[in-house]
Amino acid sequence: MSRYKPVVGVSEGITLLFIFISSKVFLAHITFILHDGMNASWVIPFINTFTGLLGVLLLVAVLDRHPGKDLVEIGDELAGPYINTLFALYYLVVLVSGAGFALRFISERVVAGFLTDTPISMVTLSFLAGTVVVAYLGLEAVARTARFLVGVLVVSTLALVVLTIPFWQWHVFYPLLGWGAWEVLQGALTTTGNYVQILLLGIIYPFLPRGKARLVGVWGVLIAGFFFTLMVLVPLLIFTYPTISEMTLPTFEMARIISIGRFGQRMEVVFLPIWVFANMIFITASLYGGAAVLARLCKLGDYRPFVPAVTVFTTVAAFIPQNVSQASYWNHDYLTRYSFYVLVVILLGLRLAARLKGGRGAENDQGV
Amino acid sequence: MTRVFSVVLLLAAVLVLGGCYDYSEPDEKAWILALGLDKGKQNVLTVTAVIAIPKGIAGGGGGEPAAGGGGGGKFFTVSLEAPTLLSSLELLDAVVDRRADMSHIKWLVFSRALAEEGIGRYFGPITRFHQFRRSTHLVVCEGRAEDFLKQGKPILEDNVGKYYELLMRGWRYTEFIPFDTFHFLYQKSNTPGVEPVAPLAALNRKEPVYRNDTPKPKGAYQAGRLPRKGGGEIEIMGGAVFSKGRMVGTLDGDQVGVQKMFFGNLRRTIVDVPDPEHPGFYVIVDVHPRYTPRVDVRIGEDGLPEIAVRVALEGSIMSIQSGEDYESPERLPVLEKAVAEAYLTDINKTVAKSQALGADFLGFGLHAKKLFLTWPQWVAYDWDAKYPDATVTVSVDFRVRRVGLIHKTEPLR
Repeated sequence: MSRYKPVVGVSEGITLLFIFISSKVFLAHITFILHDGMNASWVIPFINTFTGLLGVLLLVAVLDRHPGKDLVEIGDELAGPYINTLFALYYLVVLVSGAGFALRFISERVVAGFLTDTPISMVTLSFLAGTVVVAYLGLEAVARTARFLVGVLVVSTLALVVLTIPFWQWHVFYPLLGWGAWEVLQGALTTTGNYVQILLLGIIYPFLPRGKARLVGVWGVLIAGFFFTLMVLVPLLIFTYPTISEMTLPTFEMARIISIGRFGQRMEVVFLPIWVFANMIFITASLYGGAAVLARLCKLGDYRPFVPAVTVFTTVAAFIPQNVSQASYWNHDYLTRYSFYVLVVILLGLRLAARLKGGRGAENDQGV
Repeated sequence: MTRVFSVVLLLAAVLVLGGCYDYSEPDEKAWILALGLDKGKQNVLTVTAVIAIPKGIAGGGGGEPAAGGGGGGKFFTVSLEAPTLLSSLELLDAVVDRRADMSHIKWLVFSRALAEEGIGRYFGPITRFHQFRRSTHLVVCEGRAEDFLKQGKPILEDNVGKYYELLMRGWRYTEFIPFDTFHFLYQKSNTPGVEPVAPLAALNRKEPVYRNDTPKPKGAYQAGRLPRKGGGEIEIMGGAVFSKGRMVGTLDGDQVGVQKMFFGNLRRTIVDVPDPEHPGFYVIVDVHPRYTPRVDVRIGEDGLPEIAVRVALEGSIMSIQSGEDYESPERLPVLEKAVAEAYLTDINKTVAKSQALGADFLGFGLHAKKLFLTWPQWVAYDWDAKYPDATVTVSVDFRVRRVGLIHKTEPLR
């Protein structure tokens, strides 16, 4: 897609995918899970992870029949250019709106908690300045940035969890079923969109080592699921239900409550890199993914001319909601609720088209 | 050319990232270390801010060493009449040359009169505001918070913030100071089945509290009724019980100790037990919980809760005034029984108080909710209404583990 074909290793792929899926736990997304599941909300990420796994297996099943091609190219081949345009536009909407909401949320978070006098436009600009450069440099730069920063992210996140242990209250698990078994299941079924980001695997597939997409997808989803569950469970243990359901940014409050003697307080700045790095990687990957989809859609070999365009789309998407509350609800209503199902329908459609066309498609190098 | 352009761009970015908009020098801030709230005299509230004088804390500047040891806390107070707590922050900027900042606030002090009227309405705004932290302590003071904060000067500390923190840290060493920070207080206020307890504080009372010298357990005192002379002006002892955001009663030191024991926050306490064989003498025991009390709740046939509590304590003998030989293995049970009975009395009194107040500050409801499968079922049970009529059975087991540095007491001759 650019002058040379990038190569993404298995560990880089897994890292990129799990950060891309789970970075949202540091924003307001988990608040809605807490509303759906009450004190049993920690079950919802478990169920979501399971559905995410099914989704990624379906995606890999589609991809593995067309080695060397990404999801847009496969759609073009199986569904034809017209229908595939709709599919590709859907991928684009998911990537751009996801990045737009993430940009808005992380900027709002910085303004709310750290740079309270700085205009949000300046904060947004700062985030975009960093992410656009990496996205422009390409998939290798994106993946290696993720791989480089993953240590900081994981260690900081686990430190954040460990330092809050004195605040954990186990009574939060009761009543065991929270709102009720069916209601919790409904909550899980209406938040599957948290895993719509498996879409990235379909875009970076041609650059992964042959036959490793399933490994990357499954581990990416499992690790993301671990962090998702952890970041729903731990705030719940600390703040308990119903207090937790009031919070806009539970992980931010987690960092603010840490108190280790007189000198171990006000530690949220120490954890700032988690929120900033995770969301910058998310935005970067989204910008790259959006540009790649557009390039494929236009049948161009180079994604780079589209990076500025996708950046503009993302910025516009970020500021369409009039306020942060609207952004939160829109994100939940339009991305988190049903976007995963649309992706599954597209993937099933592609599988069906492959069958209808009679062939088994090209086999990958393992003959799978 | 590209490299030069990149360098210029990078430098420009550095300038932006420097954060000109949020430029703020620590020595241009007025650091508020405590806020006091009273019923207003000329507006809804009287808000009193304790503002640190950093120069007094850190030394004279210019490389001079810190003054150190002078005490006094190096602060000043400003009291403003305002309609709301947070609007007073802006008023403060009209009075103090430096910009007021609540980021380092240690105490939020409510006068008892205001607390009894209800302070739930102030919780929400506080948790929403980014400068406020849930690790702050909410304190209820006897009298006006304005006077309490103004006169509450430390003796040992130059830094009034450190004074507030160390005073409150006393919860670790004494059973008389509640543990609940704002975080726990707010959370308990929100949660069905438990009520919060805030530290009760007061200024030193000058006139005598009691008219005679009859024996009184030390834990029977509470802030404002602690017979003493000297020391700092502020005393913290006992607790203010809240229910639905309103203060509904007070606890003495012993009752706070029992409350802390049920939440696993009681680390140790020194108990004066009347000598079982020598009236007028005391045995003094250092007591630690063996584990958090075991609480079993079941719903009786009449629909009311039946609560069984098992308390397990252990400790060491600190002193035996009578010289009686309680240290020998065969005589230890006599002492253990006396301590257990003393504790049982305290616990029963505390339980009775919580039922009389209709406020489950011992958190039995947190155990009761295990009996329900769903949250709506638990809420529908209406624990708050049923708890005052619950049957509570307590058993206490105390074991002496150590006898101190005396193996066997020899009587004085």
